[in-house]
Amino acid sequence: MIGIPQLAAGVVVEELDPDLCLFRPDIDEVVLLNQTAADVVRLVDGASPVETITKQLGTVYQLSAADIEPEVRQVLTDLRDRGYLVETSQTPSTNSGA
Amino acid sequence: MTDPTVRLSIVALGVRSDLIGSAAAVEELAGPFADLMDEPSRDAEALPHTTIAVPDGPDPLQVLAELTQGIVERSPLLICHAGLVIGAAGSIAIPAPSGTGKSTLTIALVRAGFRYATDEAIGFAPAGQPVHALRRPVSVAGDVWSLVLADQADPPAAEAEKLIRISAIGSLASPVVARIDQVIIPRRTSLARTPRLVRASAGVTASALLHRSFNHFRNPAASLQTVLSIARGAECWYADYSDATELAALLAERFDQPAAAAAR
Repeated sequence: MIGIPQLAAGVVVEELDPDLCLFRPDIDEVVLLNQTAADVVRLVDGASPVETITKQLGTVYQLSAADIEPEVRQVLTDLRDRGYLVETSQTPSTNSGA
Repeated sequence: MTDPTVRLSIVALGVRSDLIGSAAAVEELAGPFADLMDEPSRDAEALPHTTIAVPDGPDPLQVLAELTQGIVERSPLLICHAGLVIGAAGSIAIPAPSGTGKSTLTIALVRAGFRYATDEAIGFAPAGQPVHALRRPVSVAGDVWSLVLADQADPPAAEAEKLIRISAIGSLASPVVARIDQVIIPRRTSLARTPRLVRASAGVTASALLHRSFNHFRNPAASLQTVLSIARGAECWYADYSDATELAALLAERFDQPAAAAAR
């Protein structure tokens, strides 16, 4: 996933601190994310590109963005492929309203 | 079968079940099924209904299997494969699949002082409503008997199973409880020399309940909300153990003491 991720339409997010549960009513499928994956998805806001998400997560986990970016991309790509996320065509500059 | 007569009527998990057969055939079930016998109220007439014909010379294990299946298929509740016992500090649900020692652990807990609600299935209504347990005779195999009922007379053969009334070995709880206080996910392993409890997340617990559900497919969205509500409201634990009696003692120390109840 190289664009700006956002939740797909209709996906229900259930907080189960520290985990996260995603539900697709259209296919009645539930995905349970562990804390790490959940932290990635919690930063998905439809405006932040992968780089921003990675940087924020790196700050929280006190790891370099370069170290965690492959795993962040893997989580996002997997969820996109399973229909829980989509990529928007927005760019950070157009979404910021600047 | 001659002169079919309704002799045993059971209301469980929102289902009325009538076992019918000749007086002699039904009489044979009166012992192990005595804890279940009930006089259905008028309200029960409106419940989903199942009738099970009891053959002469009945096999109680077969009747129990048919009864359980009939109830699970017709219950309007979300049914999960789980044990449920009640202690001084509240209720403990034990979701687990068949063959993993759930009934053995439930019996061990009853022998440790907990009250029995079910060793087979729990029916969950939407959030905030009471939880229903499928009270039933317990089927105990010979090898399990030697582990948790060794002091009891008349064991079955090693490869055989025997139905016992829970009231013969411990205390019965009401089959309707207000809420689930603890969820124990059992992990039996020979590596656990002493039993231990490890915190499980609400997510893991919701997943375990959903995986152990018989009928979540009827209404997946509502079923998800139901298990999420339970997982959020309960304390959740993995229980690593190799000996059910030792784990039961640990759970009794932890969750069946007045101090534990007061701390909640």
